[in-house]
Order: sequence, then structure tokens, then C-alpha cells
Amino acid sequence: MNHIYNCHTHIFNIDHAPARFLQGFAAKRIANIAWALLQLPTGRRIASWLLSRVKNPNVSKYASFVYVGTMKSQNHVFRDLRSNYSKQDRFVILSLNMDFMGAGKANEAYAHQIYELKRVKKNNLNTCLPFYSVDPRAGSIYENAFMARDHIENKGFAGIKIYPALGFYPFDVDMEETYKFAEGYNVPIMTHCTRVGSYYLGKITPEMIKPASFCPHASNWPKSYDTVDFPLKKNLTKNSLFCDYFSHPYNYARVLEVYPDLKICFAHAGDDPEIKKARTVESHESWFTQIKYLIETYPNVYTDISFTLSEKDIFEDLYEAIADSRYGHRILFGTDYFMTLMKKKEKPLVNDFRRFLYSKPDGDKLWYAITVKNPETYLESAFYKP
Amino acid sequence: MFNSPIIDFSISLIFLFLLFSLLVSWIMEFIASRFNRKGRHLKKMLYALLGGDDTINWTSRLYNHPLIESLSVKYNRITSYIPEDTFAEVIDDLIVEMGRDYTIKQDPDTGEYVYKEEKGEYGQDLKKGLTNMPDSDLKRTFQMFYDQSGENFEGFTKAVKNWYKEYMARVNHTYGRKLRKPLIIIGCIIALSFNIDFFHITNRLWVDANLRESIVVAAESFHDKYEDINSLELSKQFFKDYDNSLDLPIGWGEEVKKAKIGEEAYYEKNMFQRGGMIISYYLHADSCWWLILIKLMGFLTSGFIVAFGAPFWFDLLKKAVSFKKIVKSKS
Repeated sequence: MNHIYNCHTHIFNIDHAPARFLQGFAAKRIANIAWALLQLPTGRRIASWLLSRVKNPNVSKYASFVYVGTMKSQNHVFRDLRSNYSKQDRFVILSLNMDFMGAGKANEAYAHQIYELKRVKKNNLNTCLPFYSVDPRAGSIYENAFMARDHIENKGFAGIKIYPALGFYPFDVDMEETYKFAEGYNVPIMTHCTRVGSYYLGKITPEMIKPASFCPHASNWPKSYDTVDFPLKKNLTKNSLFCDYFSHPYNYARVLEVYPDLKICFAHAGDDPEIKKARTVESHESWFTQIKYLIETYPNVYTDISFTLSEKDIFEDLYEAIADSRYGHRILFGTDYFMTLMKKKEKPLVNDFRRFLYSKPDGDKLWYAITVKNPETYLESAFYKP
Repeated sequence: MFNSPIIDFSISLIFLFLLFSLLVSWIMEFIASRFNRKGRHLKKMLYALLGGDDTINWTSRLYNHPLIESLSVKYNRITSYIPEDTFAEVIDDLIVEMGRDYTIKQDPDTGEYVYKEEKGEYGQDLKKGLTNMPDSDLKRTFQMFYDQSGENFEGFTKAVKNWYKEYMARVNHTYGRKLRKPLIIIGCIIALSFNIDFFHITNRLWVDANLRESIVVAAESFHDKYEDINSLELSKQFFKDYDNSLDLPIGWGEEVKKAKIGEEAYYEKNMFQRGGMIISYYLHADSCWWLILIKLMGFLTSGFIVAFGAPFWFDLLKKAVSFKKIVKSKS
């Protein structure tokens, strides 16, 4: 086996992101100006050119991000991604349904993102492993499951992507059939699990404050989950904070209770602040600790190091987790391309971490585990044998 | 009557504005190509033609097709021109795609993904694709083409081609109209930069018979040399061949002459000093504000006139020169 798996990448572009998408990354006014500028092809080029001219490493990273994010099609972005790896390497391409994130309309709706992604798959049969994004608000409980199943069974998709921070709880009743299908056929699920990234920008509804109303298994719901204190005491009006409710690893305890064999990967290992928090005495509050708890408790829970591997100061923490026999076999390599371009270019990002791992005892074996062995176990399903 | 200076005056005026239009068109073409205005306009117009909703975005599908992608001159840039044959072929292919199901499944023996398409007879797949299209105005249009062609896919392709051809005429027309406003703006800027004042030019051409004659000679040779001005290459060639000795009534030197400082003194001064003299001349003249207003009106008029475009002025020049030749031969 001479290829590695990058288990976490994105290739959608600005046309697939809704109008207010950038508000999740920058101040409202700056985001609106940037958005208007990026709608024009020349504006994209000017922005990219201007950013690349500024002799500041942070700014040039934004230039790369803008350059890739504004490419003409997903085919172009995928080509750019592949140019950083060897020809045989394989990529999990995570689609993202942003139609319901309350950020306005995208130039191209999710259906078109999938259409384009299917074209990329047709052109790159073995290297492109797309995941179908499921949002419970997109259709009925059966429609969601049917669409995911059809794409996985017949169109070469390798798994399911969920992104609760875009405005839903993972235990939403309309996810039930999708989980049943995924568990039944050992289909991998990738979920976003950080406090940062894109988030729901619409109105926080009264129902959202009562998570139990979404859950079909509310009978065995702990009392604390009924209140607005669930799962943390947080600001209920600011979307960026409220969306932590949607993403919190606690939510998956409800899902995994019912579907204990569900194969699910908690992306980004909770992100670097949570990893740092896990070093302290209050580590039980850290999302990273909670993910590790879920890994120990359930047989098919994984996490990936995408995006977090751009932070050198947590390399040691990641190494400890990878070298730990309790978690090491469930940690996947991923980069979160092209989001990470804001931090580091793809090649140095991968090489820096590989070099670091190789400098450790059994580094080569650990690298092999996270890039080949673990991804193969994670991706294996009734429809795909790596 | 026809021997009066009116014909020469008209020819020289038309010729001057043709030169001016060529320069403005050049600049406009450069800006439009940098900003890919034509490509964006085409995509916008195609979106209006093909429509799209949350389920199917035909315009994006069209632009994502490899045949259309290959038309882009630059990587990662949308094309500004789609030939009618290519358009019709791609539309056919997109409809056929809707009529053919495919699967991508892993081969259990090799572990490789295998792509399998249920291919039938092309015409039948097209028919099936039309049936599978979600209800929309576009579906009704295509269905009509298909029915009118006697359910023949070649006839259908031809109908799509004609439909697109007719639409492209409208696209080009609207693009021309869209360019008018920036043309006026660029025209006014150029007029201001080079002192191309309509009133001053008409005045000079009317009173200066020598100037008029020399410009008419240049206009006639231009008329004989170039058959078509639509090609940008030709206009580039013209400016290459252009006779610099022609003393056109444009440029700010004209104003300095008016300010009576003399040509020698004019060339001794630097740009800012010359500018200062011109401003001082205008401000110290009697009824200076009136003069400035007239001047500005002259620039604006030149800017508006130039927005008719080089082809318009070239056609007019051709007609005027031919007319002069007829009059000459008859007299």
C-alpha cells in the first residue's frame, strides 16, 4: 500500500457558500465588503493579488485561502489539492449543505454542489472519496436517509458528513433513519466538533433552546438537558456562542446510546484550545477529553487531527494521544484543506507534522497508523473496502 | 452647393471622431478584457435564458461541462464566447445525461471503483432526458423543439443551435448597450486629457481650410486602406501606420497657443507650468466661467459622440467619402 488517506478536506468554493457565510469568520461589515468584492472575478483577483503583495506571512495565508476558495469549480480546487500529494493518495471530500444556515442564498445551492462533486468523483474514481452532507432540515426523515444511501450505494460516495453548528442538534429526530442506515452498513460519519468555524447565522428559535423537543429518545433524557443550561451555561442570543450547543460532544452521548455501533469521527479533536484545556485540572470540561471518553466507551468513535495540526504548540498533545493505545487506533489524519490555508500551506502543514512524528519513538509506525491503517478501518463499509 | 466646404468639413470631423473612437474602444476593450466583462455578461444572459433553481442550475451545469471549460483562454476564468455548435452539443449532452443513469461501485476483486453508465440509443436517451427534466419553462421550450423536429435529435440540435444564435444577437446587442455608459465616461476622460473639445474642433475645421484638406487626404487614404474597422487588430495597425505629421486640432498645446505664450515658450515649460498657464488664461479671460462651461460642454459632447463606437463612425466615413467621390465624378 503506497498511498495515504487525508480524511478531512473540502473543495466547495465561494459559489456554494451563502451570501453571509463570511460573517462566521470576520466582522459583519468587513465580511460584507469582502463578499461583495469576491463576487466579481476581478475582485477575487485583486483581493488575492493585494493580499499576496503584503509582506506579512499572515496576510499571504489569507491570499492563498482566497485564491483557492474562489476557484472556478470544485474540479479546479481538487486539482490544487492533489498537486500537494503523490498521485495515489486518497482524499475524503466533505460536502457541506449550507442551504439552511440562515446566511442567505448561495449562488449555487447544495444540489449543485453535489452535482459538481459527482463530476469530480467520475474524473477521479479512486482518489476522491466524497461524503454526502445530511441536514435534518433538508427533507423528511426518510428523504434524508434515502438521499444519503443512494449516493453511497450507487454514486461512489464513501460516507456521511454532518455539521450541527449550522443549526441543528445531532439527535434530531429527522436524523434517525440516516443513523440506522449508517450503523447497519458500517458507513462512516464525519461530524464537525469545534467551537469555531462556520455556524448558524439565522434566528435562534424558542425550540432550539429546548433541545429535548428535537430528540425522539427524550424519555431517558437527563433532567439537566431539558433546560437552557444544556449542555453549558451560554449566551443565548449570540449565534457564535449558542452554536456550541449544537456541536457539543455531549449531544452524541444521546445518539450513541441508541446507536452504539455508529461509526462516527469527531473532526478536529475539539480544536487546539480544547486540547490545551485538557492539560489542566478542569480537563473534564474540555471537548477533547470528552471525545476521548467517547472513544473509550464506544467501539466505533474516531477523531481526526485536521486543522489542529496547524498549531505546533499542541503537537506534543497530539503525539501523546496517537501514541496512547486507548486512542491511537482511532485517530485519523486530515488537514481540513483549504480552510487551513489561512494558517499554513498544505505541503508544509503535512510535512511539519510528519517530521515531528518521525522524530518520536516509533514515529513511522504512528504516521502509518493515522494515515493508512486507521483511515482504512474507518472508511470500510458494506459499500467500500479500502 | 456640393463643392462647398461642407463635405470636406464633415469628412474631417467624422475622421477625427473615428480616430477618437478607436482610441476609446481600445481602452474599453482592454478594461473589459481585464475584468472579463463579456464573459460575465454572457453568463448572466445565459442564466436568464436557461434559468435555474435550487435543484438544477443549468447555467452552472453548462459552464462545468468539459467542452465549455476548455473554451476558457485562461485557467480559472470563464469563457467570453461559446460557439453555437458547442452550445447545442453541450445542451444535448446535459439532457442525455439526465436520461442515463449511472453507478459508481467498487469492484470486489480489484478494489477499484468502476463507473457504469446505462447507455441506450442517443435519440432515445435524449427523449428520456427530456422526460426526466423537472417541469420548467426550459423543459417546455426543449420539448417544443423536440416535437417540432419530429422527435429527431439532429433536428432538435439544429433548433437549439438556431435558438441560441438568435439569442446571441440579443446578447451582443445588450452588451453593446451596456458598454455605452463606460464608453461615455472613458470618452470624457480622454477628451479632458487630450483637450478633445467638440466646439473647438468644429471651429478650427470650419475656419482652417488647410487643416481640413490635410485631414480629408488622410481620411481618404484610411478609407481606401481599411475595409473593416471591427477588427481590433486593424485599428492597432492603423495607429502603427498613423502619420504623426498631421496637425490635429487637439491637445493642450492648442490652448497654450490660445494663451498667446508662443510655441517655443510652451515646450520650454514643464507640464505643471503649462497647466498653470492654461488655467490662468481661462480664469483671467473675460467671462471666464462662461468659457470654462463651454469647454466642459465641449468635452462632454465629445464623450457622448464617441459612445456611438468606432464601427458607426467608420460606416459614416465610408458613406461620406463615397458621396464625395460621386459628387466629384459628376461635377
